[in-house]
Amino acid sequence: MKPGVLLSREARLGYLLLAPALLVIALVALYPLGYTLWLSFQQKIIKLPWLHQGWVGLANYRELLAADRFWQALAHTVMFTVVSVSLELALGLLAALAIHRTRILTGLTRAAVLLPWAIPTVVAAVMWLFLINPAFGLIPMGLRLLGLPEAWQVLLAHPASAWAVIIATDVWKNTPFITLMLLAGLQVIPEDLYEAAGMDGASRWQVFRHITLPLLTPAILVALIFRTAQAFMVFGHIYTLTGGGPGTATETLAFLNYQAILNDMRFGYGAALSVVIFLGSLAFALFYLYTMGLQIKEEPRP
Amino acid sequence: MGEIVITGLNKTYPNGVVALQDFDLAVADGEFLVLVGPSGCGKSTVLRCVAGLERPTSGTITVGGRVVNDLPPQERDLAMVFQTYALYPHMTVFENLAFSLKMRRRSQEEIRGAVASVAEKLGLGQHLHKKPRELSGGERQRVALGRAIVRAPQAFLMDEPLSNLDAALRVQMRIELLKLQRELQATVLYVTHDQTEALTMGDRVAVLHSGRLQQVAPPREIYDRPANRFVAGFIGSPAMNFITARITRGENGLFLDFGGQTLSLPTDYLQKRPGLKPYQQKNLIAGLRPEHFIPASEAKTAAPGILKIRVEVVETVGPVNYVHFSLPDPQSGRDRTPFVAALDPSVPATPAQDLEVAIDPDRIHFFDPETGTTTPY
Amino acid sequence: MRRSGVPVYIITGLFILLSFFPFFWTLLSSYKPGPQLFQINPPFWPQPFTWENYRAIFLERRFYLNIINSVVVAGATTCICVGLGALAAYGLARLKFRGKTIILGFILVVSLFPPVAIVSPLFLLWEKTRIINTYLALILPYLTFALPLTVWLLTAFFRQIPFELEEAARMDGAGPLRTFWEVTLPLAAPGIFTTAILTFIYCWNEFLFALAFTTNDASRTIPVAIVMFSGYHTVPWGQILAAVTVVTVPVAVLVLVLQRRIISGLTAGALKG
Repeated sequence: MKPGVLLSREARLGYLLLAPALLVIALVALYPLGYTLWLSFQQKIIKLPWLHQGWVGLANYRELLAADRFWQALAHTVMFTVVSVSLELALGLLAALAIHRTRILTGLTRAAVLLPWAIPTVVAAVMWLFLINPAFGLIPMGLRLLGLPEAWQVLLAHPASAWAVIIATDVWKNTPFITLMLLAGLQVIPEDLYEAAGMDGASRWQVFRHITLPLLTPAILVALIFRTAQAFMVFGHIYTLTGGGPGTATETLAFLNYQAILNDMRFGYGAALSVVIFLGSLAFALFYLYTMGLQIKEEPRP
Repeated sequence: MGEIVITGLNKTYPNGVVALQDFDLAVADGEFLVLVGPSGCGKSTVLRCVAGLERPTSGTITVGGRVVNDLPPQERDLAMVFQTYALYPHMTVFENLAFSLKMRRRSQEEIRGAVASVAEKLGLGQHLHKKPRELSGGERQRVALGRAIVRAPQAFLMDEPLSNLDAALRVQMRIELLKLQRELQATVLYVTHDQTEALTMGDRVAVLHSGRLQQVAPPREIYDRPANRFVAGFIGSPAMNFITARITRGENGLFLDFGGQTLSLPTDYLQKRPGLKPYQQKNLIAGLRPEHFIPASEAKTAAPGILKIRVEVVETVGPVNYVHFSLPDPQSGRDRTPFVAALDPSVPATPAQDLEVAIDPDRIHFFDPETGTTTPY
Repeated sequence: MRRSGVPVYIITGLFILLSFFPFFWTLLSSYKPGPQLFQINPPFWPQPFTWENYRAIFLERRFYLNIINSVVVAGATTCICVGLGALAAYGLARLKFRGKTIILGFILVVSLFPPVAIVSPLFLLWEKTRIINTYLALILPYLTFALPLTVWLLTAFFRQIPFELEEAARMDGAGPLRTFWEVTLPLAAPGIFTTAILTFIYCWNEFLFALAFTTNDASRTIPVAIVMFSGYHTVPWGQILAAVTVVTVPVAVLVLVLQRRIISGLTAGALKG
């Protein structure tokens, strides 16, 4: 008898089952990605067909790294990611703790938590655009009541207030997601731990600091990683709310990349920018894998 | 019904853990054989190898005379009862019972007949349309059994099927299961970690430890003549007491020295147990079962077989008291060895009290101190 | 039992209010006639109540085409992903073979890569093959984020099914395929359904690919269509709000009805991994 015949049969079935999905991923993701890499060494400007089109080596990268607009977009992206994710985490934690405590995770609360998450980003942005409309929006109306100067009420006209609107929209849309993740994390903390801590004489803050927070860390980490990855690729808000303006004050990497490709029709240059963004995301994803390493280890079978 | 023969079974996991070594076992046609051992001893691996759910590293398994090594589980014609019952939660009791027949493409009438008769036998008649989650633990257990017997397989494999029931129900199901097995004349390979279950249920009991078979024998023999120290310690509750001892021949006869005390042995002791002769004047391990101690006052033999002890703790369990004490045992590596004696509650025993207990020398077990095997009788 | 103070109720209430209010205001405003909409201090209730905006988006803008586009693209992507994903996830969750961890890691990396990174080659390819403005031009790129998501979620769901049930089926005489069909699939059905909902929502919400690979009103999906309502000089707010309401109400109903499932999917994918 040959040992391991069944095992190899099982392995063969396993590869067979995975093959279609992996093939599709390779075809729709890896092949274009390779194409992007190749394009990034080309000059390909559809609007200017009379220019040299073809291999230009590292010229696109050199141009990119010398462009202030690129560094500015990078700074914007990092700023947006850090600020909005921190705010979402803080507010999400607060909301999760409150909802968990009140135990009114009823249909209404759940729907309130899910609805902003479930609608398209740009739909949320459009709604906010309506709310901040300088002429008839509710928010400028509120600002008027607070007596702020007229000029401040055109929120999208100033870089700082434009960013505030972008971040507010993102926070409004994504805090619920974090709240949900953290609520799920809170619900798996056994109640008797709190009771034991209470018996041990811990104050509310001590209970939070020494019981809730450490046990919630995995959930916080997962929510953070997902949101950070998403925020880094922010595009829809920018496109809908500000179009990168005023000027280039709210351009992010993904937005700049989109502009380079579909506005300027500079496919080679755009591809170089894509490669840079991709490498950044890859580094982040590998960091994520490293963090999550323990969780995706194959679970032992009984 | 068919017999199960396992020869030369070895199982090493990819991570290098050796689960089974040179395992041989034959379950006769119609026999109820219990495979017992502590958790992690490899008993479930045996069962899963026979079932075809796991692949042995080497060895041969036959069921009803047919080598099944290369057959997938569904072609081995064996039924298995799982510890968790593994009832299909999305099917009714009827569908659970009928599933194996449906897989075998039996006719609707035949399925209905077979399920009805099994349901009647197990008292499940009024539950056929319920889902498993609507049943009590005992009822689920019955469905699991019913699912196994409905198609009359070559043999049954049972993996701790009673361990999820509460104590009272477990005792009741033990008896029901045995009745059922006798009625069906079923071949059963039953795995458990519970030595009581093993003794009460098995026609024969196989004791497994660290992937190696220790002894296969009828329950009485396992209890009376354990093959080695492991079996002796594992079978019986509370466990057998062990202590280093020495048989010495003095001027006035034969003695057993242990725990700083001297028990006199009958003069013909070595004639009755010739296997002990080579061990005279040497250390060996004596094993004394708690239930074999009696109060000194009731000892029928002459006075010398008496042990003077100081009571440390008394546990009351109803029919008997477990009297804990300890004896000096320098050879064991610790100062004193704990002992338990199961004494009748009428014997007054309180902590710190001095007490005299006796033990019938014929009921003392001896083990080789090096190998741990029982000295020949 | 811990005491619940008033502040936690206030926070919870505020949270719900803030989440719902923009929807509510949008809904109300979409029924307001134009002049009222553009008033400096708009009235709370529509006076009079009008369906004009809805009539306009459906009859003049043919918004239903965009809805159909979104449904077809998201639906087709979901079907493909769940089909392929279920097979792959079953292998990953149940079978023993080398390289599983690497494959799971690879799938995760793909799910985190920036969509914008493949816009430029795909645009060139779609131009060359003339599939711009077709469903295929969106379904193919949607697979890049949707397929890893379904594989990941379904793997988590398959792992939740007790392995013993499948072993029991094998002992009962079912082969591997029969076991999958009779036992695994029915038990995984809720998980598969949840995965399908989530995948659908993610495709439904996609914006970048939809913006890049459609060039005319008739082939746009809902999010792009709504953004494109605005002309250079005028913004038809009433119609935009009506369209937002039209696409939000079904989502709200979906979310209300399926909230438990959606949450179980979100947490299964993220927390259990």
